[in-house]
Amino acid sequence: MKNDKTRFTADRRLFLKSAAVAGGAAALTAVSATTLVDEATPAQLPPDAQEKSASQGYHETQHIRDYYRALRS
Amino acid sequence: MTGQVTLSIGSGVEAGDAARAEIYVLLGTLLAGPPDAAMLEMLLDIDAGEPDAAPMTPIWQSLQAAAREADTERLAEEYFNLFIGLGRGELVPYASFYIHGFLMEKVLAALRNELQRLGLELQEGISEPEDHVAALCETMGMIISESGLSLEEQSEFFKAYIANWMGEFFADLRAAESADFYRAVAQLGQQFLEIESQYLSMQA
Repeated sequence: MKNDKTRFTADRRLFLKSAAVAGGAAALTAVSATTLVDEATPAQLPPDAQEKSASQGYHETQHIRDYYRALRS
Repeated sequence: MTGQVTLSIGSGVEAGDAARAEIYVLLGTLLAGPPDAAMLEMLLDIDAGEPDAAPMTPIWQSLQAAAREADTERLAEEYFNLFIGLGRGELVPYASFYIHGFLMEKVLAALRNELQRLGLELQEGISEPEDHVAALCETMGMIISESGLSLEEQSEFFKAYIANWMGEFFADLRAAESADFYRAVAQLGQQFLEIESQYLSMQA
């Protein structure tokens, strides 16, 4: 995409939402510090989500670089 | 479609995964309903890259050419003819139909169990089942960007609910008589699924 931020005039979640009571270890977090956020900034996220974001960080592996090049050059 | 969403890359997931999630969300949005003027404008704002630089470049360029020519009224008509129709549309965009030949089949039951395991459920007021092509694209985008699932687990979901029918759906969409703008969407879907398939198979 052209920039780091691209506008969508659509609600990202048209169909699904996080369940009120999430089951299982793989349950999605209700709000997470990832991509495609609804105008949220890290300061607006819950502490655990901020911690997750910081711990994940950004590291680009070769296969990610290859994938990204294939998509966007 | 309501509200305004900002897509931002690199705030928590790797850039490659962010790009993957974005494209799933884009496909989901385009397949959930006809794009409005703002959506068409957003498509024109995508940087398609240099000619011949990547396999996706001509695909983005075709989508942009289609968006440039598109008219929202004609798009609404095209979407209706393709996916809704009088009685039924030219295409039936559900995994159950493509895999089993009928609606609401076994794959939908399995998908519902999987979504429950992931802590996802349909929003209130949504009448479409979870195996609608747009819902599955949205789900995959959410899984990549928010679930914390490993690439191997993503690959399992992809194989169980996407790879086994969606390519055929996009081929049908590309060939559909009513398709004009959506032919470019189908091309994007086909090419992207091919890259995804190769990418995820590298993780197995």
